[in-house]
Order: sequence, then structure tokens, then C-alpha cells
Amino acid sequence: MVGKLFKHEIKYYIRSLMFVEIILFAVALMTRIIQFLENDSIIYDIVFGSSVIMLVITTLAAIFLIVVMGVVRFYKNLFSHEGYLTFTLPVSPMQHLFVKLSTYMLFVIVTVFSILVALSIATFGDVLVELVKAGAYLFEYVGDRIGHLSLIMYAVEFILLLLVSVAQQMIIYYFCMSVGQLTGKNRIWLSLGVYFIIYIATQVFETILIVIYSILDSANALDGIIDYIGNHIEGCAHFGLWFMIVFYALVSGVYFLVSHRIISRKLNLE
Amino acid sequence: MSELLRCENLTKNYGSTTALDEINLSVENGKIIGLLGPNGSGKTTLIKLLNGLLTPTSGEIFVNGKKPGVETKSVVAYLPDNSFLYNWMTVEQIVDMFCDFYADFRPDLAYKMLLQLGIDPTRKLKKLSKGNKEKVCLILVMSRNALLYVLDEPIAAVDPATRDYVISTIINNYNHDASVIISTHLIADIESILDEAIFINKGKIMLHKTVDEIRDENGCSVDQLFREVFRW
Repeated sequence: MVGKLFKHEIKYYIRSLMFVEIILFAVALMTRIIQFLENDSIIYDIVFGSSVIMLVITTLAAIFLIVVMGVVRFYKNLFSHEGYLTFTLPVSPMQHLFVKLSTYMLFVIVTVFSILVALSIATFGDVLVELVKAGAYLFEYVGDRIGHLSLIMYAVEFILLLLVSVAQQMIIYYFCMSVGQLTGKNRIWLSLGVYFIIYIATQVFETILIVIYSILDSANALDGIIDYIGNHIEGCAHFGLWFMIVFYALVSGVYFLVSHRIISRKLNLE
Repeated sequence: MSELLRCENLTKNYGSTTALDEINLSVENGKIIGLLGPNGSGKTTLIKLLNGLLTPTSGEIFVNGKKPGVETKSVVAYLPDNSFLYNWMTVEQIVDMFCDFYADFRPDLAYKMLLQLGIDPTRKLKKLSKGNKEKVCLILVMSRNALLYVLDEPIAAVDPATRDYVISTIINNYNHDASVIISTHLIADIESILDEAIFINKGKIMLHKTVDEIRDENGCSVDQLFREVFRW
């Protein structure tokens, strides 16, 4: 059943994202074609500048759209009138949640890949060659100083951290909507209220941590730790990144399980 | 005969409002049952509970011996009282979807009924009229070879001619080892096909008898008894 859910979920995303992806590639292609007409006139500068602005706007729209789609798809498919069909399919709530999140993450990756392809199209030729050369030079330069293996590790860790944070953000939205549906009316307001409370609580928690750090630092209580980190910067940086990956994954897991429990035990399609 | 649906002290509250109040009910297979009651009597709440769309406040509900879940959903064919299909899909896409998820779905029967009604399978659901959309919903549900069909107000919003079509579709297409629960307040239209009637009001079961028993004991039709029981 999971495979079938994926099939229908992917179809929905393709159908909804296709339009903006086509526009993105078209604008990228237009930007590249305009560069063939390069001259010193002000008109060229205006046309080229406009196409670059359009490319930036379309890129931002693609990023914005994927997040909005993740939220809208979850809410509409589970808690609107569509929920009557979704929740009468012989599929468990865990499978629904898993497929929704996985498909969203898949299309986040597809969107990032599309943006990279669009930027490659827009810069195709000398500019792209120079960019690739600069990237290769940077890789060699940093790799020579910290080791190529360590650099690759950093890259993997950053990508993982990015993916886990993107997933965590969407799972928090899922959680807010799952709580919101508990009420018959004002579902969206309750969802927004829950999100606001989570946001404030996170800010308060971070502020408390900073205050504790400042107090300990001013009392020189962290000197030993800071010295240790200074002497083992490489290992500590990797540890810090893995700590954040695991922490975000655990927090996401908790939100995911609570959302699942709410949907399993307290589904409210009034 | 085997028991398809059992409710034990089933209660559902919405805040301070009691929609279902300690209901005890048993439904066997091979019957067409009318779930009859005025608006707000608890019919839809009971139906949603047996489909797992709501969770009981207390008490229990069993479908084919199991609590509502993945297994019961594969044997219950449910027609809600509102349009539940994904509007962005075409009719054939939604047929494909039913094929994918329900092992008991009969696509040949669905296409045959669509053809009879002149509904173009390549059309998007959002482009269909309200009446045609409701017919598609009914066709999808009745094209399943389910154990329990649950139809919530299937004839409430359709014209008399369509009403006849809906009723004949139900009679001709349901699996005869299965049971059909039809929730409605338009009793006269469906009385002729009912085996049993359940009267529900203010969240309580007022009566659960066979149609023959009702006629023999009261000397009147189910519709007449309903009007008498629920008279303002």
C-alpha cells in the first residue's frame, strides 16, 4: 500500500509543480539567450537585468511553492472533505504520514536540483566553466588545509543537517495542523496558535541557553572547555554537526509520533 | 448469518453535546438496513465512527469483529454525505485509484455504469455537475465487492429520476452476502428495499426491527410509523 500511496502522491506533486518548473527553465534559457546579444547599450543592461531579476523571483517562487504545497497537501488531503476518502483507504495513519513526509522531502530535493540545473542553463558557457573552476579550486584549497576526507565529511554533514532541518520544519507544521483539527471550528487559527507557541517556546529556550553560556563564560567556568575545543577544533566541529543532526532528528521523531498519535486516536472529521 | 457490526455502549460527545448516547446495536449480513432519523439525530456520527473517521468518547464499535482500522476499511464501502473525491482528478484517474487500493473493486462494472449514465471518464471531477459527481461517488462505492456498504444520505440531494437510478444501482450491485446500511430521512423512497429499520433520535436507538415486524405490529408502513414517532 505504501508504494501505491507514493504513486498517487508523486502524481499530485508532479502535476502541481510542473508549471513553475517549466517557467523556471524557460526564464533560465531566456537569460542565457539574452547574453548572446551582449553589447554596451543601456537597453541590453535593462533587458539582461530584468531577466536576472525574473530568474531570482522564479527561483524563490519554486522554493516557496514546495513548502506551501507540503502544508496544503497535508491539510487538504487529511483534514478537509478529501479526508473522507483518504482515511477510508485501507492504509494506516503511520503510512499516510510517512508517505506525505517522504514525498515532500523527495520534491524538495527535486526542486533544489531543478534550481541548480536552471542556474547552469542561465550561466552556460564561459561563466559556468569559471564557476566550476572556482569550485574545484576552493575544494583543493580547503582540502589541502583540513584534508579532503574531512572536507567531504563536512559537506555530507551540512547536507544531512539541511535535510533534517527541512524535514523538522514540515513535521512541526504537521503537528500544528494535527492539533488544529481537534477543534470543529477555527482549525486554521488553532494551528497557527500552536505554531506561534512552539516558536515562542523555542526562542525562550535558546535565550536561556545563551544567558547560561554568558554567565558561565563571564565566570571563566568554560575556559577548560573552550581551550579543549581550540585544540581539537576539527573533531569538535564534526561532533557539533552530528550532535545537531541527531538532535533535530530526535525532535522531529517526537513531533512525528505525537502527530501520528493524534491522527490515530483523535481524528476529528466533523 | 454472521454479525457485521456491533456497538457496545457506544457514546460520542462533541464538547458538551452528546451525539450518541450509549448505543448498543448489532447488524447481521445479507440485509438492507435503513438508518432512519431526523436531522441531527446521530446517524452521520454513527457512520463516521464505524468508518474510523471519528473516535468514540466511550464504548466500543466492531466491524466484522474488529475495531475500525486498516482491515475493516478494506471491507467497508462508504459513501459520505458530501463529495469526498479529489476534484483535481479525472474520473478514470479516480477509478484507477480505487483499483489500486481496494482489492474488491470491479473497474469493468464502474465503467459500465459510467457509460450507462453518459459520464465521460476523461473529464475532471471538478468539471462535472453536482448531480453527476454524486453519481460517480455512488458508482465507485457500489462497484466494490464489500462486506458492508454504508451510504450516508445517498438520495437526499438528487432529483426523483436519479433517486430511482440510485436505488436500482444499490439493489443490483451489492454483494448479497453483504449488508447495506442506508442513512436517510426520505423513507418512502427506500422503504420497498429495506429488510430492517433502525430509528435513531437524539443519539439513542428508538427502534430496531425488521420491516415486516413493523408492519405487522403497527399496522402501518415504516414511513407512517416514522412520522408518528418523530411528530413535532
